[in-house]
Amino acid sequence: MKKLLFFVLLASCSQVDHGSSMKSIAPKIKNLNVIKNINVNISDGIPYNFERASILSGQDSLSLVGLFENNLYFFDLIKEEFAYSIDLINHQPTTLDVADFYVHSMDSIYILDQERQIVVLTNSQGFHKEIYRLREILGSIENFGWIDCNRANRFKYDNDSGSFILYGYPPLAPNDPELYEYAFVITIDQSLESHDVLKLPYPSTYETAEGYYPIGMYFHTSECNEEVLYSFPNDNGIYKYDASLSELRLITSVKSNFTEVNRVLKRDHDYQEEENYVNTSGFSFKASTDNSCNYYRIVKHSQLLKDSEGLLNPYGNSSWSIIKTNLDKPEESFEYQISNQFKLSESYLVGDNIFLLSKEKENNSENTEELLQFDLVELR
Amino acid sequence: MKLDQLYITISLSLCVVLFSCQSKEYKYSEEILRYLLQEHNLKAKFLQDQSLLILDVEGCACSEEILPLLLANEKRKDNMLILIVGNNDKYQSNIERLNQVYKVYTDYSSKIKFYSTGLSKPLLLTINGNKVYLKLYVSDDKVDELSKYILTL
Repeated sequence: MKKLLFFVLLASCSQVDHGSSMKSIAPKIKNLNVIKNINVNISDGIPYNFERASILSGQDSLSLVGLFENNLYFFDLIKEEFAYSIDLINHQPTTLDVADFYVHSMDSIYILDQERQIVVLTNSQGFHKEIYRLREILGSIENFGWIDCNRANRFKYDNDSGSFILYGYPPLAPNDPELYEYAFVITIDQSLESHDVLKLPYPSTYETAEGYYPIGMYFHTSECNEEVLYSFPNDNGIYKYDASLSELRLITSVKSNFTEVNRVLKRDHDYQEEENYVNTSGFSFKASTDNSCNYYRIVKHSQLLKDSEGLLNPYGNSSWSIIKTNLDKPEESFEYQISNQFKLSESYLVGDNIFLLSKEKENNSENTEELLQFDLVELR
Repeated sequence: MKLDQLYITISLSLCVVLFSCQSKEYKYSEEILRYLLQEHNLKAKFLQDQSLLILDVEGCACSEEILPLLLANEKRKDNMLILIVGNNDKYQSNIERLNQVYKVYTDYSSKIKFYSTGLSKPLLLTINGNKVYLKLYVSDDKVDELSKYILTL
């Protein structure tokens, strides 16, 4: 009887999956189809290399909005032309240095300032409509350090709940082991009367040996059937957060054919060691889901530290791919290799199975200087 | 203690102090020398008792703080090399004045980033043949230290 109980316990324990024990699916390699080349003339001094950019797609419209030196530049990608730009500084009642933005509509753009304390809602001429001061709310959150908003983890406004969504971390140094205990997902109601704080734990694969730490503390969020999905740069898993257990629940794990994740770095490394690590390591850069709950992951591939001439291979020289996973049938996962002429950090999901890929990469010899160039590609 | 014993003790103490003050050989010596040779045709054997200040003027705004102190010196410093990495208008408009005082090398296309040189913040090295020593990472609080060091050259 005791033996039976032991085996029942063992069996039930084996079903509790914390990420590392589930076998990762190897996606099948496929080629993508180019649907359309998009060329926008930018010869009259319009910037081409944006600090960050967003896509706004409608039934018959597709626009790119790029941030450069506190100005937003709007491009109509259907007409293949530059539309207009707005100055975000001159018309504001408060000092504003833009960290990030969220385009809700052409006439409602939410701007997050560099201090991450103020959100300004502006119209299509750059005049402010509302100012939201977040300092007090953020200051009330226990053990909260700072708000992040990198290119893969952007500040958001959620229209359904009328809330701002911000991602943050405890006030610890990047090489502090305690930093990897949890991150913050902060949801602030637009009325500023209420807010929610989720302490998002990291997957168990982020636990490393003493003296080492995993690189990639930021995380990716996307939605499928109104449920939020999480993934991490240094982990193959796709997770949901289980509020009743305060832990991540692994949905599936898909591993790129071209990279090893879960690599670690010595805690006492210097700048060059970190640079070399990031250049050579593979990791998941960002993730998104389409309306059919296909999960797309942009993956930077592993690469050699040096080329045949003994020179360092910079980050941008790495090849990369998009992994598409059907969340209802994860075994149907496909990996699309992307040509090195496309810029990994400027790839946008614009519809079910459709990505917009930027050709504005420094070492892309085929890119024409006077044109802002993209390919619209299909992942079938 | 006899006088000669006292001298020995003081000399030994001074040796300890001198050794502890001596710069450590730089971790990325080999790549620094390879970069200097390949990109600037600077051969190690001709780099005797030289100081090398490497400034990423494009990637680090901190380099702009260093410009006034470099310009403050008027006496020729033949054993001070300044390597300017990237483009910066302020440095460009003062390049002639810098050339009058220091030996200036430029790397406008930031080729140094293809070598493992450990460059992030401004970096002060001393070179003696094929030995490269780390003198100072010029962080914001070390700018004065750099200024004092240049005066000693």
